[in-house]
Amino acid sequence: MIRFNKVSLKYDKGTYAIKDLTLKIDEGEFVFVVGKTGAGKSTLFKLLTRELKPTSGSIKVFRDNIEYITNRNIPYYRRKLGVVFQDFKLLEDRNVFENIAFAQEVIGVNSFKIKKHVIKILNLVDLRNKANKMPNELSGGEKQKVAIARAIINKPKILLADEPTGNLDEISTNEIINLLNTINLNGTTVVIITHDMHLVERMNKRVIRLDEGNLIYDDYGLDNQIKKYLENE
Amino acid sequence: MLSYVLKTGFRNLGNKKLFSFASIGTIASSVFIFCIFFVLATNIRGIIKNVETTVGIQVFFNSNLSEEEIQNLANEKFIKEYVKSIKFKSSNEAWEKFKVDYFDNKPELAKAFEDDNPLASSASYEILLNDITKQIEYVNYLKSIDGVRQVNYSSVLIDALTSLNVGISTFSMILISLLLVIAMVLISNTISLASQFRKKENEIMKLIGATNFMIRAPFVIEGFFIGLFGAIIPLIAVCGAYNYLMKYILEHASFLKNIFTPVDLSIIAIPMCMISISVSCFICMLVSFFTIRKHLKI
Repeated sequence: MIRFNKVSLKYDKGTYAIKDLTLKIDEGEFVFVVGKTGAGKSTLFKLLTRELKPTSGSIKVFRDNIEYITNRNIPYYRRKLGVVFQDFKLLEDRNVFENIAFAQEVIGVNSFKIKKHVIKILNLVDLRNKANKMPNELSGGEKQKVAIARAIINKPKILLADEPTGNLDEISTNEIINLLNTINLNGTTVVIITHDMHLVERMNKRVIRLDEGNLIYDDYGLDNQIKKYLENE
Repeated sequence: MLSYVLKTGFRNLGNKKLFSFASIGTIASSVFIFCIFFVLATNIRGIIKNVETTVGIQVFFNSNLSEEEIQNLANEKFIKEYVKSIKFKSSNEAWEKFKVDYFDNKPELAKAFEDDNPLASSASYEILLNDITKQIEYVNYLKSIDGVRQVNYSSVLIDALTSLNVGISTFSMILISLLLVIAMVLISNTISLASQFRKKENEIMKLIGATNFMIRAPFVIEGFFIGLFGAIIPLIAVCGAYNYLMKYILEHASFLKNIFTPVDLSIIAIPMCMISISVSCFICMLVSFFTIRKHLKI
């Protein structure tokens, strides 16, 4: 589903955000992308959402080379992705229902279908009774559930989450991860970018570790270096 | 999709009340001035039209020409496409009219000329034109015809009205242009502010796959509403005031009716509304479109 082939992104100064990255993520996988600040995690996210273009190499998503997608066609590509952010990016002047409906409004779904879809998604994320609440009336975990609901309402094949639990307590983190797991079990490929090594250790899923733009680990569970670091913590 | 664009465009207007109010106010000022000058220009054109149909050119001929020769000359040379009518007045008719005009109360004075027409060489033609702007050209043409002794016409009134009309049009164009420039700057600022105000929303829209049209269209609709409200408010004010003024003139200042008859509101209102609303909305939408293109690189 996602193929990076010798992908590099070089800044004008000559430094690399991503260097010669080759990796493959198959349909239905649940993958964590980890690494220190500046390791290239967010660049990877932006390459996948086509906010950035690689300076060399190729990225295939859904069998298309996404660097060749024209500006006009980028919106149609992005509709196949769901995106979730650490800071939720909710619209503060709209309630829960409207925030989720917004994702369908902008792609032109009719209001009758929107209502039906939003109710279904609200049940899935367990926020049925919060539909009329404004974002400032919600907890962090609930806000992230709304953001996830908005990300999956258009039934994306890939869900990209950039530090989705970064602002959450442990209980909320578990709820969000369980929700993302459920989404994954329903067939959506989930790629999570995170700093939270305890979470990654607990989930025992595939982990891609980046360091200074290079891929240094790609396997299930944490690598020994990180495990040792966690043990000494 | 259309309902989203309309709803969002309208909501944007309310989100920045002060800026929207300033933009609408400036557009309204421009449209108000346009309407005032439109009303004045239409009424001046009405007066000119009235003058065209009532003030004529009088042509007198050399005394050696008989009335028959005069009529032949007129039939041969006076007819032009912009001539509305020509009317012959014989020397006898001229004398009879003179007697009525000047000796009506003293018929004994007229009797002194009983068998002698003092206006024997005053057979004339009265000519009305369709287009008063051709008057000078036509008068010069008449003067160049052999046999024409004198051409009388009233140029002062026409010249004054035409100059006034041109002056008002020029002044209004300059003033409206200035106001439109100010309005365009203000609209541009309003839309820039709106794009900043909705930066987060636009970012989210981009990431969930909204097309450029979906992101930009609400801003253009916001411009449309600024233009629409900016036009409707002064139109209501001017139409209301004009209607009141017409009624006042008819009821309380009937002496003015001899000078001019105001153009009916129904004749003025339709073109004035159509021009004001379409130009105002078009300019506002255009400014919004280019501003949002500049500020929202998608």
